[in-house]
Amino acid sequence: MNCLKRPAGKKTIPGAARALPVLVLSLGLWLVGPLRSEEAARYFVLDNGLKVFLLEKRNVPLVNVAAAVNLGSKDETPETSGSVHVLEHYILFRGTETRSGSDISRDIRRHGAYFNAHTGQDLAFFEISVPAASVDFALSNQKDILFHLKITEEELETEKEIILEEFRQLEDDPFKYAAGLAYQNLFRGHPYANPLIGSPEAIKSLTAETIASLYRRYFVPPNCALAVVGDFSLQDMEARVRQVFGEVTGEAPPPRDFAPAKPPEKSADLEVEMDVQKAYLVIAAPAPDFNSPEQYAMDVLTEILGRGVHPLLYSALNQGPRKLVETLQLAYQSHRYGGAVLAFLTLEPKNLSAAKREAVNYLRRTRDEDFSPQDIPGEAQMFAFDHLRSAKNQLKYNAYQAQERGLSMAISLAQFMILRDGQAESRYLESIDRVKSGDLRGVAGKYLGRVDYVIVSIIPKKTK
Amino acid sequence: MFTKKGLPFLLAGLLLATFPARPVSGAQKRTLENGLTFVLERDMSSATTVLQILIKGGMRAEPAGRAGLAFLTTRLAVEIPDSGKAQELIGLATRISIIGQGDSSSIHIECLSSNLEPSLKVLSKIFLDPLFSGIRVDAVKKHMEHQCRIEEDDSVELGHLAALRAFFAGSGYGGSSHGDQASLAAIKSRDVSDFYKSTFVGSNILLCFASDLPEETLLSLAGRFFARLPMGSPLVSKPVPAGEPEPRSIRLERDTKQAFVSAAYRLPAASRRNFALATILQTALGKGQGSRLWPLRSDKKLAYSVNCRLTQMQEGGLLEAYLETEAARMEEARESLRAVMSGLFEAGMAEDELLSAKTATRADFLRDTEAKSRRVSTLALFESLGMGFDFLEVLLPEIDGPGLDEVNAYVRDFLAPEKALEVVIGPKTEP
Repeated sequence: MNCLKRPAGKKTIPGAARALPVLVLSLGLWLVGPLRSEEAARYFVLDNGLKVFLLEKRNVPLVNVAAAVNLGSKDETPETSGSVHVLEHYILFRGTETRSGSDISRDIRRHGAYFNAHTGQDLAFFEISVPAASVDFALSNQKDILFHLKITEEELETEKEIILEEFRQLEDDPFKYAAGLAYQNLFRGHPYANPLIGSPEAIKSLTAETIASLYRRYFVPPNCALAVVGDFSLQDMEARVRQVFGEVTGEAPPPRDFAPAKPPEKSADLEVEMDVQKAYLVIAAPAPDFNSPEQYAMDVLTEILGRGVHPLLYSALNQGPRKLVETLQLAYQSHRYGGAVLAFLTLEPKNLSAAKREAVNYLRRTRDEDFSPQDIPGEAQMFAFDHLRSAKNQLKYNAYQAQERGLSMAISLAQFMILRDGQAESRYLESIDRVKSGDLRGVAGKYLGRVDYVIVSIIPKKTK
Repeated sequence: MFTKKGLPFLLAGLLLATFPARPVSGAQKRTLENGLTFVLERDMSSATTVLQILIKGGMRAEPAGRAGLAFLTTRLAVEIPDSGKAQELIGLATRISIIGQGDSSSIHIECLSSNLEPSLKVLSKIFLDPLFSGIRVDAVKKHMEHQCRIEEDDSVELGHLAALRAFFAGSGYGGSSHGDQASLAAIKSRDVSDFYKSTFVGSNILLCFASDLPEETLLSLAGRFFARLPMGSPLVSKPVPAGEPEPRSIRLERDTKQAFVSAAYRLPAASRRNFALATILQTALGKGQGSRLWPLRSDKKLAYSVNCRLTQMQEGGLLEAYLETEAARMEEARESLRAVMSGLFEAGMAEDELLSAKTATRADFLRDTEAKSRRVSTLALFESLGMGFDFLEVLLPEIDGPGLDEVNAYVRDFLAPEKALEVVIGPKTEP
């Protein structure tokens, strides 16, 4: 849940739209650049427990600072549903012990900063990007909002009303709304089912004390990670970070552990009416978690099935003269305790039933697909398309491209420091390179072949 | 790569990227023998190449009643009929997208630099000799119709198109690059073929690269694969009528939870100075915290989204200040938006506000053009607007140029209340 606003002129496709930075960068793809130096990055932990990663990126005079806090919708109960998102809003907009919300806005403006925050299932993110000359402001601003917030009932009530507007906006956005419903059903019984934005009723009942207690407990250095990417020297930046954040104190919150998410016990097929002319379809299935060795095969499989030019699922739904869908995109989202594959499709409403049936049937059969010429015996091998090689090329391109945006890298690094359990020894692209057709059939069988799917359709209102 | 042994696990065994500075000299321009313009910005930050093939003309060059023709033709120019060749391109992981704009249409290509040559080999073949059969034309038209409906399912896009239609009716600027149902139905294969012949010529096309590959390599590839393009004549576009919408208010009904409320203004033709002024104004009005629209969110609690959108075309521009609010508060939102706009018109911008807006605008441009893909699009856009690709190099000082008097004169010239077009989209309300 992004807290600032959606850009004009872009259809919001949650997951799919954010898939590249979240998916690609979360896996450490920023490491694959052809130009390397052992001096470009530094990792350290401050005495207070704050994890810090610094990465020089000196081609643009910008500094990007991202903080990740180990607090997400997974940590909520039905009574506190939406509280992390409310807190995230409050932190971004409503003021600290020394500055009011309008003071912060003015400061942001004066320094040419981009300032935003996101709430996810596992973590909350707070990011700022400034011209390199304003680096001190960026660091002190992040310290101020993360560790010196002032929470009042009056400011909270104001922000709650804005969040209720966000809720209405969500209800008008077909893909965003459908993806939210898909998550709630895919992870039913697990904390990942908690809606990121909460429910209007729960939001209205949240008090300043509830929010403050959440803030006091989780916004402490040992529960946070800070990544800084941009135009600076490592030595200088380390000194600045130590100076600004070194004095912050706070005890680590009690350890929390969550069970791995299980596949849904039964399928779900939901339809919601909106004032739209086309049908919007989201199909969701479980997927490997953030640290699973199967993530590489799932990345490749997602690429083959639902990205790029004429992916397999698109071709399966549009064979010969029969054309069931117009657009299709697959996203793989990995979290600490589970993952999801989501297909986003647009189509003619009259094709909805056939598209749902055919899409699920095809996904179930994916475990039997030939992904590489090596899978095919005899002469036919010469004419077979190499989906595996194509997808690996795509992922390689994604990896290189991901290096170009400093803020996305900072967010990914911050996420990585908290979520990664450190068991993998392999490099990302090397792991991708090692994926074989059999691995794809393996993850397809495990995650797509024998599970119940969650399907959410947004359809035109019947009165239209 | 990441081990759990020891604290510096993130560093252990990493391949660490360094990012060399962007060259100060910026992009270079060349003209090939057939009139084709070649622009390159060397960027070593990744082993990728982004190429935008920009065909001047765009929606403005479409004959009356044939809206969508520029996009359709451009799309068909990379629609590969040979499935083997198409698969070859897929295998190379080359991404292609089509962009339709007022003054140009573009083919945006992104690939691994190592795959550029084979990608261009496949693409240039169809680009130079496309197939405009009725079946292929109809298939793309069907997809474009679908995209039109998708645009209309989003109130922000619907409002944007309504404002474009109102201000630029009778010129190609006035609508979606995908056309509409009637115009698409009117387009025949012959129209596509004629449009291709007149606009897909060397003197009307720009190849804009951002790549880690050296200039000689790219020039050689451009010469090898695009030399067959005839030189032709640069397109002479029709003038854009200076029409004013009447009435000044548009109300569209959608049964949504929120209402979209915007105030739209026509801006002058593109020039370096006008572009700088428009972007400063856009930032001051509606870009993020501290903007003029921001209190509608932070204080009045009217909206989650407040924004200002600038669409600059060669012969005119469109500035839209808008918010999305609870349907029941639509009237309050209209009043509040009017108050913000008239406040700016009457009192003008203050010195510190202008300073902040300039700082924010400069920083936004740095961020927007950080990655190759957006930078190539920006270079190509500037060229198609007639401002020259090299405007990107001087954009930051250009933003510093206008003083308070000039900015406020601009506000008075173009944001007068009587020049506003109000667009409201939302549920039916009682009179």
